[in-house]
Amino acid sequence: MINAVEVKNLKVSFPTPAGYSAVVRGINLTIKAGERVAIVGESGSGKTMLGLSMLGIQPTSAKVEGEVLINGVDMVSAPDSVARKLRGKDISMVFQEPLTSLNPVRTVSSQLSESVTRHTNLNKKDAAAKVLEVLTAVGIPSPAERLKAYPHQLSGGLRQRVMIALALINNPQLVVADEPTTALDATIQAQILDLLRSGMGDASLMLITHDLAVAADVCNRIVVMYAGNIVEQGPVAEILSTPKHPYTRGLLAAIPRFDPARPALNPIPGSPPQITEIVSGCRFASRCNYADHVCQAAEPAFENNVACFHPVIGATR
Amino acid sequence: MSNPISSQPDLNSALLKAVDLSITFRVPTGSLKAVDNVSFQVKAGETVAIVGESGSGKTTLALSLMRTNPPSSGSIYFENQDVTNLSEKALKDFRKKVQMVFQDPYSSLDPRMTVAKVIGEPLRAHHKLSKSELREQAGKLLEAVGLSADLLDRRASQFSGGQRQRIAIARALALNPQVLIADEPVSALDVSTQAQIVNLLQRIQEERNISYVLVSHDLRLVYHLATRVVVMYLGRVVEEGVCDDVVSNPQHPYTAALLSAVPALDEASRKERIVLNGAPPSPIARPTGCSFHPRCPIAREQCKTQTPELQQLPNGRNVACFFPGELQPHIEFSTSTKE
Repeated sequence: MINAVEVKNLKVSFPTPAGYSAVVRGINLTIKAGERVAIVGESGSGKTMLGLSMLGIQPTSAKVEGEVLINGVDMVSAPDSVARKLRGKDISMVFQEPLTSLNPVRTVSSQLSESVTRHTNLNKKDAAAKVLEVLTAVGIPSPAERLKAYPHQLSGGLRQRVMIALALINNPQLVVADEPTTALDATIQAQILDLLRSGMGDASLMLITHDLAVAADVCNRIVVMYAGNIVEQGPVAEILSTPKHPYTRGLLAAIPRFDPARPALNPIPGSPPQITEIVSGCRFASRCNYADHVCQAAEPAFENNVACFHPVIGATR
Repeated sequence: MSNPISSQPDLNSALLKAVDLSITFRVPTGSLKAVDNVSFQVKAGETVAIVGESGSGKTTLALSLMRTNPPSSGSIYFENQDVTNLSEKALKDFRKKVQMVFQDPYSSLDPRMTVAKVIGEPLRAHHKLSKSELREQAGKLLEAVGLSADLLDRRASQFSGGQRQRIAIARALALNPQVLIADEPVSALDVSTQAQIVNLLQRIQEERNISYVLVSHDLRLVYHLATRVVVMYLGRVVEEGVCDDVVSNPQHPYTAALLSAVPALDEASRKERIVLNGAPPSPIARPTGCSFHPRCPIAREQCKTQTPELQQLPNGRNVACFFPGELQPHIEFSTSTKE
């Protein structure tokens, strides 16, 4: 099976008064063709910086090390002229807020056809046909009438569909979507989740979200990040029923359910470490019920899909 | 369907109440009725949730309950006293009783103010207290929300989101209110922090018998916290009832769709999801008949021309639909086992 992307030992750091601090701390991740993988984490987990650096669009102050292999090209070391040819063609991105990520002074058709003509040899007419085709594919009603619309003339849901159309238009092998439904209303979110689950064609999906339920709703596999590391990963059903990492368990126990008994929620105490904070041992240890001296002394390696010295066995609840 | 609801529901038991409330804003193209003839009440110690999507009027309704924007018609009562037209001066007493917690603790707290000042501000405005008394009170409030009184001299900007929301709650509690209006109180917070704040809100309610008006889009959270639910669509109440009943047996198709739209942890809910077409229309261009009919999976001819009134069903539920109960979502109920 062909891989859509291979991330090897990816590290992203930012300069601080005390030297470089890593927000992504050596991530290894392979996404196979056709796979939908969720990267779940809280703010500060490094999930967004992981996504941005995979496309090479991280903030300029960031230092990126490691490899991101797409079609045999390493996005990290490739010169910008090469990376630019892959961006928008082989790998593309959907952002949280389409109103700020689409160009407000250009029509839907001009933004979409630009991406086609830049990356392919299609002439204007064929590009226009391609635009209409992809707008139809992402479920925009009467797409021909929307071609001349500006982003502000569309509803939030339609804008996000245009954003997804823009990501899909050159048949990429990987779409990275960062919180694509967080700014949307409930019934619109349901529409876009359906689209992400079953309307992405052959593209693999990397869905970045803070919401385990959204991840479970769309993806086959869940990768849980905490403070810059992957702490656990596995098929959706396993992560939900038998999570091994105490942090994953904690996240699940913190979500309210439709449970008539209304059991008290079990919050994870404290908050994640700051970027500048120096932590020895496991970065979750200070918030973990299972932590002991072993966890304070060394950082657990990622083995058997979990990075924990005391992985939990058995079902939740 | 029977008994159109009287516009004077049980006057005696409600602590805070709105009767036939409408709020209209002037816009360049005419007027926008953000809240359209809504009646609403909160009893002592209960939590009433207002749910709906953006543009439904839920926040406008919540704010108007605090008398922050004047209603264009209808009345607001607090402890059976009409507060609809009270002067700013007379409102001062009312404001002690009804306080608010906002969504984003990064913008609702002045980052340069010390915690002592943030929490002390309402106390200074309403009570004559010495400096040391103010400080003592502020310290007690900080401890009541789970923070140490040692933090009084820190500035708001030095705290995390969850800690800031605790500070915002302490400020809201400073005057011992009877009603706390919380507009999306945890949606700006991380999942693990959300649960801390939810538990804190529950503890405070138990300790103080305070009433909550919870504005939220998160139906799992609403189910967890609320006694009753009000579902709004385009400025109108489409369904209202006891939380357990509304969730387990929704009567309005919009309620059913909202419940069905909750991202699911199980496969069955996902497969049987009711996905509505399109987006809510603008309240400026309200559809004819039932406002929901263009998106409603069960709409008939009648719904395009006639507007369903909010009516009480024999089971006590209020619903504005000609075909109540017809559309049912698949909801994944969990059953907890005591550990």
